[in-house]
Amino acid sequence: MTLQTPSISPTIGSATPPPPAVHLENVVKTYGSGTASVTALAGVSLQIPTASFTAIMGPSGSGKSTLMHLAAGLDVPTSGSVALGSIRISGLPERQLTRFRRDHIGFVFQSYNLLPQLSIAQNITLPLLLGQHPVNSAWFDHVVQSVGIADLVERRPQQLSGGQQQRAAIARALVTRPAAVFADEPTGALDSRSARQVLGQLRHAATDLQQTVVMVTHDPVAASYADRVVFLSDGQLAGHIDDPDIARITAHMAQLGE
Amino acid sequence: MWTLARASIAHHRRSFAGVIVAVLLASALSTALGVLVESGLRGGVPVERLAGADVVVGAPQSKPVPEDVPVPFSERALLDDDTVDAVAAVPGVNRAIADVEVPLTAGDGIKISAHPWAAAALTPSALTAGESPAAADQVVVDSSLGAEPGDRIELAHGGVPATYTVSGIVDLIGSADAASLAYLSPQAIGALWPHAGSVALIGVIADEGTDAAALSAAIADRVPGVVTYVGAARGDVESLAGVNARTNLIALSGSLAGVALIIAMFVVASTLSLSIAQRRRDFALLRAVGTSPRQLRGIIVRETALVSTIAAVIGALPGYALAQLLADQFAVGGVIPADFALAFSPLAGIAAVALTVGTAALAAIVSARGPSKAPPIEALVQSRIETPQLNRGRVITGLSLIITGVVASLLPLVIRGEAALAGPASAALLITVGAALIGPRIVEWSLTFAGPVLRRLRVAPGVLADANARSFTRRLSTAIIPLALGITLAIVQLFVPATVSAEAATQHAEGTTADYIVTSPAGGIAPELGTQVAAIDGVDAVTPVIRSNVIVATGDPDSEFSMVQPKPIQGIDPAASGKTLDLAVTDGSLAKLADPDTVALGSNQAFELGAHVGDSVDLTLGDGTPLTARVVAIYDRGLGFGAVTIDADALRPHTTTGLADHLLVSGTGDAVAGEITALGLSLTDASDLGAAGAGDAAQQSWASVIALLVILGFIALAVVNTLVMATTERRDEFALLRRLGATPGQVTVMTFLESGLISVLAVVLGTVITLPPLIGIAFGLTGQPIPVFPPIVYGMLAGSTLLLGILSIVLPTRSALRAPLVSAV
Ligand SMILES: Nc1ncnc2c1ncn2[C@@H]1O[C@H](COP(=O)(O)OP(=O)(O)O)[C@@H](O)[C@H]1O
Ligand SMILES: [Mg+2]
Repeated sequence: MTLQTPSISPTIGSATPPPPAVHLENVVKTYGSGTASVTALAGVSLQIPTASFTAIMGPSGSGKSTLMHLAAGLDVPTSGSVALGSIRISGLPERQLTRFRRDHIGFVFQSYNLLPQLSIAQNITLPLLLGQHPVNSAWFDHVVQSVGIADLVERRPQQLSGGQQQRAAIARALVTRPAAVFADEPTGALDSRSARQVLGQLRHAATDLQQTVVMVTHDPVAASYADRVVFLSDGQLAGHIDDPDIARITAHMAQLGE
Repeated sequence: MWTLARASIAHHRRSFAGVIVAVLLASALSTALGVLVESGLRGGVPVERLAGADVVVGAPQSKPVPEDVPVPFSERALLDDDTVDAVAAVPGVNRAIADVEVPLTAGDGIKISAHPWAAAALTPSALTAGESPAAADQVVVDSSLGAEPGDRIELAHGGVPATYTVSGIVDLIGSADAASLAYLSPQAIGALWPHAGSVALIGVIADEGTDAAALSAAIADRVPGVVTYVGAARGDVESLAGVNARTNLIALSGSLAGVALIIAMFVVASTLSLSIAQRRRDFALLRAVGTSPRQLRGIIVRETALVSTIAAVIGALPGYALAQLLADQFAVGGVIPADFALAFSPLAGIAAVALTVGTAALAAIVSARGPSKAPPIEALVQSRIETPQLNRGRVITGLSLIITGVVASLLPLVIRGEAALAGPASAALLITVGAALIGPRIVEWSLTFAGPVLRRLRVAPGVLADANARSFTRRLSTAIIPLALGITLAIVQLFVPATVSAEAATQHAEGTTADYIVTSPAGGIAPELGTQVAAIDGVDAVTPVIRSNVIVATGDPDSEFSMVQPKPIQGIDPAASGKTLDLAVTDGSLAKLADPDTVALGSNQAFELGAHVGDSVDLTLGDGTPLTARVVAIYDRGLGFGAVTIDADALRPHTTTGLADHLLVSGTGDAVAGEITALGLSLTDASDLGAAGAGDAAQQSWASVIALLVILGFIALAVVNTLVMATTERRDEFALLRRLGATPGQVTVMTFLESGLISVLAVVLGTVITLPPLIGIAFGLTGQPIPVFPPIVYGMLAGSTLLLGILSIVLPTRSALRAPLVSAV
């Protein structure tokens, strides 16, 4: 397993440091109300630098997915603020939030990422179509080549393997050159070889395409591809490891009780 | 296994709700139709006027048809005078009272049924004032007229008024809405009754202690050629309306119940297969964890049986209420009398439950074959588009049905008459079933036109809608076919009668060459009024027109193609026919109708009978009298004037009232019209009068419209149900689109476009399917291949189909969009 060095993009022509790609400030998320309420996040503050690859780890139920949903604007926090780049998304009305998500955020989910009725190429360019943006074919070609599915774009999703489908989902996440790509257990349903390829693609997106990547995982191997691993436990931050390796991750996780 | 089934039902609430709704509705509809069919056999009007008779004796009132229901006579069949004595001679008979019936009208248009005074004994009533009518100008009336003994009242018979003195008043006991009754002296009623030597019925008062049923059997045994009625059956002979209502109900059930049942079963089957398809992944998972295909089929069939039995039983109850609702509407339209009692028995409900549960179970067995044999690996496939391949057998069957339907539609090009019209009528159904089988193909094919339009919109919803339509041709066709079926059914049921009646009206208007059409406000016209009109200065020709029915048997009676049907017949004065009517005679001459035992035939009727001028034909007149007559003329305007034309003098004795329907008068001079109206008659025109049989046709079509509305309502609910079911299942798809940045508006526009596509295709398909049959029918009737499409009705049909299709997709889309974005992650 190779451990790659994070490559942080240099700030260009600016005295003040650029805002972090993702900035969570004291975020609380409570589901339900009254006695049945569940506090999924109990005040999380987190900054994720631009062009970095961050893994979020924690035991099952610790709030990883919730954190990602809030950071990606798929859900709104009960309190606290979420900003992407210089935009504070936690207060945006639904219409603007939708537009922001479409144009500035990429997603890769564990499953059901692609619409079966569309070809791979159509799936990849769907966010552009929804936003009425033209497809930059050079960038499209570059993205599909770099994720290794250039020959498959005319196929339908169900004609692809699980790993190929996830790589198509990564291509779709990258095609809009978003502010950040969020991936929730993207390798959860894959065999280890496909998983390695998908993780390599995410790593490559951060390193070579200067893309901010945030990945939720509970797999130490997957997390070891990241520049930094942030740990969550019971809805709260529980430490982090920079330039992680599998052994340290596993040890930290054991401490958290998993 | 039951535990599993229960858990599965709980998990797929929406899908099962869809199945429950479909089964419930189908069960309600089938129950309602079952009640109507059963009432066609066993329902009737209650006995009122003859409730005081222990036994009622009449002549046979219908023509038996081998292996089919008898065809009732439209006129009263009469008994010979001698029969009264023969009945009176049967031991146990205390009194045998002859009864006749004469329609009278009081000055203010109130219809009164007049009977001999003796017949008052047959009605539960009491003479509360005055005395019985002894003289010819005396009358006893019932209290509803509000007259007093000694009052002088004018009662008209066939437009001829006479003044009577009220000699007494009877109070009717317990008959609320019976027609007003009048009793005349024997000599007075004898003068008005047109059938001297015959009586309408005989009411029997039994000796004390004699059992009515036994007496009835004894009379039937001793007196030849009579039919006896006891108990509730007396209602059938009291008025012919009850029997006619039963015939109408049977005719209606015959034409609609079959179609409705097919549709109901089709809906249950397709909803069920949709629900099973939606749970394909669950089934694959069960297979993956080791359930055998056999066990899986067991699970599916068992849960279907459980759910559909409950739904069908619950649905049967409102079915009875629906039947009563339908019957009330039929009564409003005059198809059945208001007091017609339906035959409610558990049978209809039981049959409906058995039928719907059976269909559901069968559909489950068929639909379960796929998932139970599918490889367990399917469970791991996240989602898939439907296999667009249709199996060859299905395509071939579908195409053959469509071709057969089109060929049957063209039958009227080769043969003529009603036999030919039966082809196109059933053709629409064949074509629809064929279209249902190759539905996905039709959707694909039509997308080659619609697709480019959608894609040219160059917006996400258009592209997505096109992709969805292309990938889910089955889903689309499941929605399109029932909608199209509804349109087809409505067009055939509404526009075929429209084509027929439009042609009949045209023929009638063109063929009426008389200057005046004369009717009586009282209803019928007595012969002497015809003579008076003929005597008016300036009148050249008068013919009474008597309208009745004749029973015609066509085809080899032993073969399957034989038909025994009532057809309209008109009686005219052959001498005056040339100046008043143009029936478009193609062979022979109407003047020859003056010869005894002759008829003229409409050309379609002649074709059906294979008769030519000079041939002899066998007919049964309206009162059941057989007639063997020589054909003296053949005419083209049979639809407008009746299939058979005969001398009025020959027809009159075979009608109950002996009155003419209207007079056709040719004459010149300004005074003619004034003198006609001075006789108390009115003038009308051909369109107000209507073609022969137009009244019956209008009643029948009213009934069909009511029944049609119920079926269309069922289809509408079923379509909404299916579309809501299918759309609700797309939550995951909508959520993914939303996560990727589609606005709710974009998703809604996408489904709007899809639903628009579905609805427009349904309207187009439903219309196109009906074209061959309608063209065939129009050609058969008019010789022109141009069907009548009433634009407003068609517009309403198409409009409501569009609205229904679009709303039942767009509304559930909106509600599915309310689900949180990440619930499916
Ligand atoms: N939609 C929801 N409604 C109620 N509780 C939820 C919902 N989503 C998550 N939770 C709860 O919030 C906590 C965190 O969930 P989640 O973020 O999915 O955890 P993880 O992804 O780390 O497994 C869990 O206790 C979970 O049960
Ligand atoms: Mg999670």
